[in-house]
Amino acid sequence: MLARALLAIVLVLPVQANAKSDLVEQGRQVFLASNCQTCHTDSDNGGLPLAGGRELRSEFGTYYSPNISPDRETGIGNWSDEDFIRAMREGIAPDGRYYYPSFPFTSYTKMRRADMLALKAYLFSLPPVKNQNRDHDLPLYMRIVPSAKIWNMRYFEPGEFKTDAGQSDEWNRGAYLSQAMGHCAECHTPRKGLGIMIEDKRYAGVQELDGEAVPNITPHGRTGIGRWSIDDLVYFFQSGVTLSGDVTGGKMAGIVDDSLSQLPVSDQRAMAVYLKSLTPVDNEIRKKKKKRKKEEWE
Amino acid sequence: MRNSLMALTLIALTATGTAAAMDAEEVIKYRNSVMKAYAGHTGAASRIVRGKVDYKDQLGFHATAMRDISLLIEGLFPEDSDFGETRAKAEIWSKPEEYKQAMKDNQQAAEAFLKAVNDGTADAAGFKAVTDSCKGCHDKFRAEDD
Repeated sequence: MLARALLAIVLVLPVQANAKSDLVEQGRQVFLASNCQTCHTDSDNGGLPLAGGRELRSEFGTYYSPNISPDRETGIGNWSDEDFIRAMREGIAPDGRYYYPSFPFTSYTKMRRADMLALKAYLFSLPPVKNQNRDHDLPLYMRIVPSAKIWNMRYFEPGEFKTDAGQSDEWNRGAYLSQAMGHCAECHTPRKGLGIMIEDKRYAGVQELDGEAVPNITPHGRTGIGRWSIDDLVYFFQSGVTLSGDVTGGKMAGIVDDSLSQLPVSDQRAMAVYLKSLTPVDNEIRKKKKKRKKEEWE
Repeated sequence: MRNSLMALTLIALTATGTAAAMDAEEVIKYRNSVMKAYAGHTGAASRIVRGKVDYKDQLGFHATAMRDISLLIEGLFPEDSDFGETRAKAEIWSKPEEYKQAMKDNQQAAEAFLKAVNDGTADAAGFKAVTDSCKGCHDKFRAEDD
């Protein structure tokens, strides 16, 4: 009897260990595709991975990304599965506070529950880093009213990604990766007052976002990626080299390095297929000029 | 004799004067063209390396141009050329050591790639080392604008 029980334990344990490492590996893929690293690491100032503190400037103030390492005191080490799901799906922290949409829960809400839990398992497998979160630096009018809560309740609709049966598996995978994980639209879509995305210009580029122009990634011939082939897009995801032979820099360089280039080719291709299927939007993003120093003095 | 010496001195002075007073706006236009040429050769080479076109015999031409241009870039960012149609970031001048290192990385990668092409051992990884060094520099020293 005892021998049998022991045998059962011996047989079951490795299976559980494997199941756990499979989950962590699945979570690592979600982590890479969702590009958590770039914003949650203050790499410009030598910050440790996922310890937060990176400055995110916007017209609605300056945000500092929080610590998402599994440190119990300053990170998310004490979060339950449900805490994690609520943050990702609904944009609400375990203490009931609402997140500002600088955290793209507006995209992550589309993630499947299993992927969220895998992501949590991966994050919890990483070393905890002690680093106190820094308060956002927001204008007075946003601090005196519960602006994040109002925004969330008024403009945000939580909900998981729905497969489109009329499209191929590859397209659906690409749509899921782009919408729920890679959250491309968050930067590539222009917004109107209060940060609401302009729906008919989704993915059509932004003239200026934190000092950078963000290109139109709809397949419009002259102003977007219409001339790019699927292979050209895959190559860009792998290398950062554009159709003209230029090499991307700024924020997109980090996204290529930390996320896109790390994905399996099948996922890179799926995202390219999805982007090429978007409705082309004619929206030219023009280069801006830096002011001549003399002009600034005058 | 005296006259010709004087003439030489005058020519020399004028030449130096011209160099010193090189219009920054013209430098920026020149720089933009040089960088576009770099991108042109990089883009063309990438299509050969990726096997999209069968012009392997022309890869050496592009690799040579890329190496040669990589050596020019450092001299194209004089002080006070930080305005107008440029995406050059102030860090080029405020962090000169880091900037020099980024230039060096690019030069070395371009040189290594050219050597590999000449030796017949060029591959996608060696080409990526060049474009990665472009990306590394653009990441730190160029404002994204297109």
